[in-house]
Amino acid sequence: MNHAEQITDATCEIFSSMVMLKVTAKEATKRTKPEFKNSITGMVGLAGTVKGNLLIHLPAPVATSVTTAFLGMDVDCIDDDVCDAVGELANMLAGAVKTALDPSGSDIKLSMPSTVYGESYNLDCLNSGISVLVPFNIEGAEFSVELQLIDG
Amino acid sequence: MEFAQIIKSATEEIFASMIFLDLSCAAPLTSEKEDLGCYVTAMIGLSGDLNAILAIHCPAKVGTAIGGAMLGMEIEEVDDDTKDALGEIANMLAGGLKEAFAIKKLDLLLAIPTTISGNAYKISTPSGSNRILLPFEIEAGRFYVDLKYSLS
Amino acid sequence: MGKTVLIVDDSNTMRKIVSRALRQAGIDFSEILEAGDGQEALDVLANNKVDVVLSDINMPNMTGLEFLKAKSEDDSIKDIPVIMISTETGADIIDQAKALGAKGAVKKPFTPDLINETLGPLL
Repeated sequence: MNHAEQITDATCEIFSSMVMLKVTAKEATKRTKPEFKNSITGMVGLAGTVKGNLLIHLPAPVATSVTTAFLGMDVDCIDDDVCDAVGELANMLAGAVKTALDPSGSDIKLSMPSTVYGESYNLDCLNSGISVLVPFNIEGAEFSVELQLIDG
Repeated sequence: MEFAQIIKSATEEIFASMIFLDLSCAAPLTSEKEDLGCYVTAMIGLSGDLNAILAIHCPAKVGTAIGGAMLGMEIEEVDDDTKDALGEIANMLAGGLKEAFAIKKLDLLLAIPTTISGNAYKISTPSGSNRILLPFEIEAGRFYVDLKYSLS
Repeated sequence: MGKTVLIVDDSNTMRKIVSRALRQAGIDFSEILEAGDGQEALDVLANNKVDVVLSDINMPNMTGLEFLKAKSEDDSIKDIPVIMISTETGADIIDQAKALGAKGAVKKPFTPDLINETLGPLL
């Protein structure tokens, strides 16, 4: 299974089972622009035999509707609940990708999740190693999941 | 484990050996305020016997002063060189934590650094995590080393 | 007479940092060459007279350890001394590097004095 497939499988599974929203993967690509506007990014680090990061990038309106579905409560702007929800999504996605990369469960560990959000922020793109980004359609809008890896 | 002292020593070692800027360290901040007024943050996830995120937060002119000192050149604005240099510092600081842990026979694994920049970003980590926020001063101004952690 | 050093690291920024540290160490390098991975380093060694190599370990295409192995199999370049630059690499990786012919390692963060002590005797 290649990384795009790992990301797609993990995202579709988590969104259908835990968020209960249908998502459809688009063609995998690589992020070349660092800028994000009015968005939130959830990140989890991977460490061990491979090192990397799993990131989920959502525009603010997508983040609030995903959080509303995920938590079963109405949110209308990026607040602590949205941050926690996005961090938790990043955590679950990283967990699923980690299992695909390391079925033994002993060679890769995850770091604490974090989220970055704001009207405008730049997140650097990985210069060496592998970087795969899969965009997803969700109810007429879009978010993306990105995996950055280098050999540990 | 006296985290503040470990962070202070590791930061001082990096500045003394590779950056050559006079550095002083103030007492850890106790404020929960997320908005440190910084323009660039380099962060790296850690896992193993400590689940954590280590970050270095700088205002623009402090970031460029540090990056410039490290590369031996004048840097006018936060650019790729500045971000890479700060990412490298985050990596080395995490390496310093790892060494301190190894002395106590505890194992830390490092992910890879990410750099965030912009005028209007906020960073959030799961509620309930512990935090050490250490301010440092160089001639150009103040920067912060920020460790958020939970004990595994 | 000035010497030529080759710095091997996939990060352009890290190569600049190492160059600056070498200048500060006061070693008289007349030329500083750069390569982004082990394969590029082999190409540089094939086409230039290099006196010492400073190499990162984790690189794409060809890692530092793979570079050491390939270099050791080429009579024309096998004797050029190589020092590894590492961050949080364990002792076992450094041992592997030395078994493959590396003359030593410097761990980041490194001081100009450490660069001098490690590189000086090899020049």
